[in-house]
Amino acid sequence: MSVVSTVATALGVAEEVVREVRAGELALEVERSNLPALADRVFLGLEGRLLSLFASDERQATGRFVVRQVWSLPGHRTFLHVAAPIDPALPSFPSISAKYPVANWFEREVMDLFGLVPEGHPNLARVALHDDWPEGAWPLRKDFPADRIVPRVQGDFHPFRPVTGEGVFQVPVGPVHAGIIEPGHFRFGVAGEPILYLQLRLFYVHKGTEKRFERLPWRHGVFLAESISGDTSVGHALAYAHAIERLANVEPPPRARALRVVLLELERLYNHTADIGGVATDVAFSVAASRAQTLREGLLRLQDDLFGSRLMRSVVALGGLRRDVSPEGLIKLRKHLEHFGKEFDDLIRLLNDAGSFGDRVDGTGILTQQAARDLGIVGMAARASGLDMDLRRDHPHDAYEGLRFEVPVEQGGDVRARLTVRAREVAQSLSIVRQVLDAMPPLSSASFRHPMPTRLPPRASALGWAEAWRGPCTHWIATDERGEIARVKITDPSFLNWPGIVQAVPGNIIPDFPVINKSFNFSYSGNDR
Amino acid sequence: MTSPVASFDHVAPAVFGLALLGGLAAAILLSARTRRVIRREPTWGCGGILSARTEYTSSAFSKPLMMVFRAVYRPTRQVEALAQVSPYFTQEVRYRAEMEPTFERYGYRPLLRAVLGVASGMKVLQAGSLHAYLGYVLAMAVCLMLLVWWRG
Amino acid sequence: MTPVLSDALRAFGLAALQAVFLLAMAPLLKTLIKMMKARLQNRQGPPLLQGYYDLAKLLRKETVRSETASWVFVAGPRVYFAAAVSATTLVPVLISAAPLEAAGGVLLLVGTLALGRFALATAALDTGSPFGGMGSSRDMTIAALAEPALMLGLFTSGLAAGTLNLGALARSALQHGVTFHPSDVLAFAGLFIIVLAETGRVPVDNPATHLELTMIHEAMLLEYSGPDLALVEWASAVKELLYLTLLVDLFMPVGMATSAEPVALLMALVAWAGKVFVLAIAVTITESMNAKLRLFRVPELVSISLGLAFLALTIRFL
Repeated sequence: MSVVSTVATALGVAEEVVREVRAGELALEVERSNLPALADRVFLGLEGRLLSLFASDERQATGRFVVRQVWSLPGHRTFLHVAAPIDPALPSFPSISAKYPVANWFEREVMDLFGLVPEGHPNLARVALHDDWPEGAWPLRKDFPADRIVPRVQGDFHPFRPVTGEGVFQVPVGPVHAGIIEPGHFRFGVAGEPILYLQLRLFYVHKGTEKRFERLPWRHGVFLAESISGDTSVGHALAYAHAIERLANVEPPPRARALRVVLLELERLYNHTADIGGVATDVAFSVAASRAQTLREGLLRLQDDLFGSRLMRSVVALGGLRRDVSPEGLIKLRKHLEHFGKEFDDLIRLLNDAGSFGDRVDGTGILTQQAARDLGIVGMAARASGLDMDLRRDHPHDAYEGLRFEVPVEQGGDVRARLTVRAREVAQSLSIVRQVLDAMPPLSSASFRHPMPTRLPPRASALGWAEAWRGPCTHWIATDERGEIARVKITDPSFLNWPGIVQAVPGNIIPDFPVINKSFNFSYSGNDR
Repeated sequence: MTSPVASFDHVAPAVFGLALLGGLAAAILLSARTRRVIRREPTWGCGGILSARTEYTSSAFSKPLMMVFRAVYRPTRQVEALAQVSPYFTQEVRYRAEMEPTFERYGYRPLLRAVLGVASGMKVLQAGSLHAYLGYVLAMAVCLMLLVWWRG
Repeated sequence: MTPVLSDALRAFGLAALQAVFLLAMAPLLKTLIKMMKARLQNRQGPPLLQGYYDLAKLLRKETVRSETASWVFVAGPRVYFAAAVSATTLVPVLISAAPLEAAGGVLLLVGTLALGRFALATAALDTGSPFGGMGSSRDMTIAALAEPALMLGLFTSGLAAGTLNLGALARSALQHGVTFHPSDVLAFAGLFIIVLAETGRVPVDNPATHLELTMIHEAMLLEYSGPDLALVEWASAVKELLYLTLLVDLFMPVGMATSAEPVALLMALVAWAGKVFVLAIAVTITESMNAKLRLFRVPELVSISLGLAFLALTIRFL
């Protein structure tokens, strides 16, 4: 039985309805009223995971909006696109958030940016737009000019949900913090040190990136994708490049695919190392913290040396890479990582041996497996709460298909578990890079970049994905009738994961919040876009 | 070796008081401003606005001590997250905390009971009769006279 | 009357001299610890005079105060400073006598420092900032635990010497020399822990953090700026130097001058600086090799100190 028929059977639809758009991508169009029932079937029948939910304004071409869902079906090694057309006269769609909280922020974002109301959503407050944004201005609709400046509304804003009881008060923290970190507002309901309830307010750095893509030639998109979240430049660049390459039906040469794996794993290495150091900083374990910083800096200098950019910007190109790495460079890389591996083990030993450190991370900020599953948490945070998922294994991209690696999963869900997953992933990354270097396709002319066609197919869409260090980065890209970009939907793992912190924090004491937050280290910029 | 001012110990506390005042004077001098005015700004609220709801409360202030001495105070707490459709959509959180009034129950109350008990016993003496009061005065006067006579 | 007055004036003069001396040295200690910490992390660290530069900068800077601040907020740093400065007159530094030791001993010292602490904790609450309340509440909790332990630690030494006068304590220690008696070692360890707690060092507090939510001492200062902040920073530095000097007086009296002869004083200065330096190294190592304790683990740390003091006391009388 083919994948198409299996999926069609599980969804209870005719086989012709499910189309295989291209390898690893199935698509299905449904009536909007069928969205909840379909969600049940995908969740229960196919064990699907919702990776993204968004809308697109296709009124010019078809006179309709479309609400779209992207599901990962790891059991079938395919993604499933669900599209439900929405009549502009009736701008609403049935919400699935009450049953599947993973859709919560997604649906509200659709409401904020497109003016399509998720009917039956338990909390119809704004998420992407702030309260001083006027009613009726939906920035991602095509008739909203990108350069339009809207008048701001004055008033008393964002009624936080009440926490009541004797001596209860709120501690507002952010959006401006004492440290040099990104802006986000946290509001703790407390009656002393233990946290009773936590509420978030994000989107302080919403830059309209998705709208910006719509006015950008698709060839230039990689540069914008790289700046979606500064610490995930490779992850987002790859997701974008993958989507365009799939649209253009271009496959990068083997050497480029191998080097892309190296890039992505280097990004994982330097970020995981920095985060381990960040956790040490937050509990004032200064020696370990500065050792981690040193290791990270060593990697950044190596990256600068090999690719001409500390954070590996402008390295990924459509069709492959912008530049190749010399054989001497690869030898240097191998040597550096060998040394790095030993130093990293020392660092982990230092952390594990310090009782005072263990005391701070054990049992702190537990995100239970149940909550992680219900909220659709992805990536590293999910793996630390006992959920086994990794796009590199479940939907292999670049050269991951032929590599041997394990996906570390920890059950604790606490700060310690997230540290351990990171440490184990570092070991896996080192092994992956070693394997890639051992089997590196030889250097030859034009072996690192496949030429791109002059035009993309019109009115087509494709998904690009990459398992970056935080988790899956996905870009859904659709073209218009001229083959230019009509819509890019960027999903950073942080957008899926932020609600998890609301579950992990209550019950802990206020001074433990920073270390819990650091152990997740979600991106604000990637979330807000 | 003796203290430099051993023979004048009795003025030492006063001199220490002076030292304290001297420190205060030094602090005021160090921070004294001749020209510039002091700028007034709202209390820092991390880029937001603070309100009465964000002020530290008295029970929150004493909470850490209450938790440290939980053996004595035996605090109990109840946190109730109200949600209708799903536990992930909290609408309101209600909090209730109680503590064992240890000192009141085992210290002040028994003491108070004892004092009240004695007092109500004494009430018999003091039932409001003028004759009885005159009787007490007389008895007291006699007692005193007897005492003076006996001592003298 | 006149001799009393002249002696009082002389004592006051000596007290002022000692206070100025400690005020002058305190920023150096703070920077020294920062520098050594940085070196342990393979960092350069600040120049040795950074503490003075910082104070000079803050004293020159503009004062910004909260609109909701009252006189309590203004009084806080000044009383805190006055308390720290006047406390210096009760502790012997170079000579085995303190200028105003006749005014009172251990109790007066602890009481004076507690006065400063109270002033700052109240001032932190004054502006209505939740961080100020947080710092104040935490600081008072730790004070309630650490102060009894500090007193017990000092009483242990006091019982051995038969006095609670700090000058007399130092003289008694000088007479006995460094004994390495188990009770001394235990009492020292107990007091060292409390000194870490009282001076806001890791594992109790982290003086280097930028995370408002984890702060204790620093959280109380978030609303202060300019000279107000300089006063608090300076007074905290003096307090720290004072505590380390106290440890030196009680447990490492070697080299202390018994008279005010210039040569003896010079040697005492070298000895004192050396001993404080050794303690600063101990503080640095403790700060570097430990993570900060979870807030509600601090009582356990204090109880270790209490236990050590009790043990020292028991051994002393065995």
